[in-house]
Amino acid sequence: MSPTTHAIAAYVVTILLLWGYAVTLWLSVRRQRNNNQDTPGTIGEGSDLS
Amino acid sequence: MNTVKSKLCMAYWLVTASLFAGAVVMVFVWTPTEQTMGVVQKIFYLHLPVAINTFAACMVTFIASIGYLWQRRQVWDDLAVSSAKVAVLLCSIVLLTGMIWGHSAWGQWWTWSPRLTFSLVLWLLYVAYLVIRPSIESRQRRALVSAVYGVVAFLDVPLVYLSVKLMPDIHPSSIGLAPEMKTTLLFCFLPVTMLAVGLIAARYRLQRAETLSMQEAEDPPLDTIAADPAGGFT
Repeated sequence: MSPTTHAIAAYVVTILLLWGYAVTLWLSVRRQRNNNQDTPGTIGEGSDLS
Repeated sequence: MNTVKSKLCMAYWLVTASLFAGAVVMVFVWTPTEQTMGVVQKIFYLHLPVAINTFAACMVTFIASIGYLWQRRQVWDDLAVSSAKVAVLLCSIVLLTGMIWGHSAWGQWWTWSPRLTFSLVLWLLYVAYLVIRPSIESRQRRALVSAVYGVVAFLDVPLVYLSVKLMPDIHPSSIGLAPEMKTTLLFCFLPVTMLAVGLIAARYRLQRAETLSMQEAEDPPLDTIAADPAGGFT
């Protein structure tokens, strides 16, 4: 592998891990918010997630 | 109010993503290539900010653990576990980018130098923190054991930082940078730090919701029990 390939590989790995986790969390927060809207009166109502 | 909050969150993530993209462009287009190591040195602009943010995430777990031991409030435990999860992710990136850099610079993926070893120990300590937690059933006991562990695990952070200064190590302890390189490095700290803060905050929101949901399941409110013909015993 050339040094350029090494550098690009490091950036790709970092971007995939960091932003992959960010997207996963975003989807989870959205799902949680939707669940709270579907079932009013459950935990989370009036919390940050609603 | 919540719509405003959602929009602010979205704006935060958009700014972070834009800054991150800008940082990558800056590294590969604007910053001059280092003469000795060549292009592979550009890994450093990501490796160092992620490493510093790993320490910061471990520090958040440490402070939250002390907060729990002091006040015994569940919010501290939620914050501690949220930042520990982000610390594991960031530490994994530090190890991976370091290994890729090492393969190019030293010709090997891994060497048991003090800094690398202590970094691996740090990763293992926080992975163990996350693995041990679910094995403890009682919420209070889990939070207490995690808090004590969170305080002890943080002791490895100064070892990672100081190992390269106190012991002979193949890992560079400091690198001389040209002014453009310094500017790029400082700029790279911004999106990486914003991303780490955003990840801890998002993880914490989810953790709080999970905890509240579990608390509700364990201790249902009195009106729910009253409404249940079986008195909540089914």
